[in-house]
Amino acid sequence: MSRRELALDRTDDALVAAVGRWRHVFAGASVVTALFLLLPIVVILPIPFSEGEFLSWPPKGFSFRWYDRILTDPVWTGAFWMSVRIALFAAALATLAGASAALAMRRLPAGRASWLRTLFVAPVVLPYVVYALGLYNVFDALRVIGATWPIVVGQSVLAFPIVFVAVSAALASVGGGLTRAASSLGARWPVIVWRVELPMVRPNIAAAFIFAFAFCFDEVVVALFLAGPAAPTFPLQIFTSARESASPDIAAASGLVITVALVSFALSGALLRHASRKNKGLHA
Amino acid sequence: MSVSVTVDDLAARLGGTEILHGVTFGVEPGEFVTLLGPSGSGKTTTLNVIAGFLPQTRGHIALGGERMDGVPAHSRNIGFVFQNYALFPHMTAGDNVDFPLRTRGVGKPERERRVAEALDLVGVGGMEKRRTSSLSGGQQQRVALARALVLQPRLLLLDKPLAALDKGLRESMQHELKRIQREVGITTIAVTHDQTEALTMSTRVAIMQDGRLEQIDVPEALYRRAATLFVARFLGEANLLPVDDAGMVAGLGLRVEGGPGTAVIRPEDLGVVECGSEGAGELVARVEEIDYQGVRYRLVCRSERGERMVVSVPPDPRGRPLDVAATVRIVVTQPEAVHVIAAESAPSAREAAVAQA
Repeated sequence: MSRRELALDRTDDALVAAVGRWRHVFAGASVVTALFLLLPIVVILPIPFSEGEFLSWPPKGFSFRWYDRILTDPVWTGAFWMSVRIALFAAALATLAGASAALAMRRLPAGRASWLRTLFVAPVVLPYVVYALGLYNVFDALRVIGATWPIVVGQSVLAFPIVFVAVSAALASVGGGLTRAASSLGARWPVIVWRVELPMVRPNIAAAFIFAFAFCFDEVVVALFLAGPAAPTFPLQIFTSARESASPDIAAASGLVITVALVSFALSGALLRHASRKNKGLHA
Repeated sequence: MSVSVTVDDLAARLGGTEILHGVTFGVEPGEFVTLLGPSGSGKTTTLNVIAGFLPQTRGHIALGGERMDGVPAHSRNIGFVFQNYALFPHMTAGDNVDFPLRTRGVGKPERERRVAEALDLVGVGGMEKRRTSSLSGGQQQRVALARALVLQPRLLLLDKPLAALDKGLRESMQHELKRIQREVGITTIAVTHDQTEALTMSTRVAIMQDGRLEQIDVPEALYRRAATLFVARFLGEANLLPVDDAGMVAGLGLRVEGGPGTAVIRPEDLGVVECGSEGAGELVARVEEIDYQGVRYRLVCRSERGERMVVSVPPDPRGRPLDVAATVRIVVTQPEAVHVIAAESAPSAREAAVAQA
């Protein structure tokens, strides 16, 4: 492994040498792109610390009143916990289905697997509005609009590809060698899944769950169609408030959503780093 | 517990292409047979079909007379050592060896005893608690071997077992593998592309090419009595000269049995004399290259008719070295060692294997 890593380093050096002075241009372009992507988020962060009554830039003064308000107002806290609950269940459902699908895919002939794989990542390119409208029609016919579980089901389908792709990639790095080794040692597939494959990709599954949670937490389209007016999700509450007023509590709520996303990102990153350290250098 | 292995007319496909075209051979109980051949010759595929990782499309495999058709890999009771060892990285060395025992539901005290025994056998006793990533390549190899042997399988398969080790370690492991194999007495089939490794470790070597078995025999016989031109060229160096209907070897004035066909003359069965001394069975040639190889000189000569001849000679005791560009006569010093591959027969692998059995 160390030899392979060395070879990789050398390739990088060669690449840097070949790019030459252009690398400064590339670096500049990367910084501009990153700013373009992050600036809208960075701009919104200081607004809720304003003392003023309205959304404005630059913020005036400094106070915690808006954060205080969304953390105590039952409308906001209710929406927050509603979103947490829905996202937890939806992410759990997506993780169960996504990880199972990724594990099953290893046991199918290559042709059939590639068909199914296309089908399984399809929700990513699905027009969310059309999908949500379809769900609405179905659940409306079942007279369950306003209940929480239809949102859970709808969001878990959208989060499914996230888990499926992440776990598939992790399993690909496990390689077929370990599976063959286990079966030559007398293990049937349930034992191989339980004692070889799952333990090796457990951190990746946990990271995928967190990603799925973050995705579901700020999902709007499905929630918009399926949530009852009495119990909106957190992003829906932001949406509704933004239409009705220009109060900085919207910005405070956005800050909270960003915090959830950042914490999820950091957590899953730490998990994956830990995993790659643990499994380093043995399986090819 | 070691058994005989019968491989009969085995064919297999990989991704739609036929890789094996009917391979037939037999292995006696306790024997160590190595499949040797260039890459892409189908040797690893043969091993994978025997292990049950790949289905055959024709023919069959039998262990101790019991047909393996449709028996899944996990029920074959065959130990397999992979080229990259395939140790489970999330388990310690001991847990790796314990894995097959736990899978079989063996009780804990017995498991601990058998893991310790297996690690002792392969020379890494007491390393139960070590993480696999903290082991050297050689130690990983030994743990993989212990894991493959701990269930006392009927057959041991080794896929290029030493390819990932550096040279010094490889040589000592060759002898280790042979020792362990003999101690356990297990029937073993290995795959390698390293000739020395094959000749050192095995009781018999099977030479494969293009998904066919060319010849299977003891190492000396493969070298001395190659069944096909491929085998003659593949193992060591060979001078191949045509033999005419009268049994005369071209240019050498030597009469042999078994012609017409091709004479296989090994470099060490030839010698050179300086020009002037006339005699039968001689070929005039010019020395083009001289390699000093420690105990012998290897001469590459070009005959007057343009044939490239390789001669291996001991150093002249008088210490007078030959010169490049010298003109010499090549003589056959061991006429009885000249082997002829007959032209018309060129036996197929199938026939050769049947003749063997």
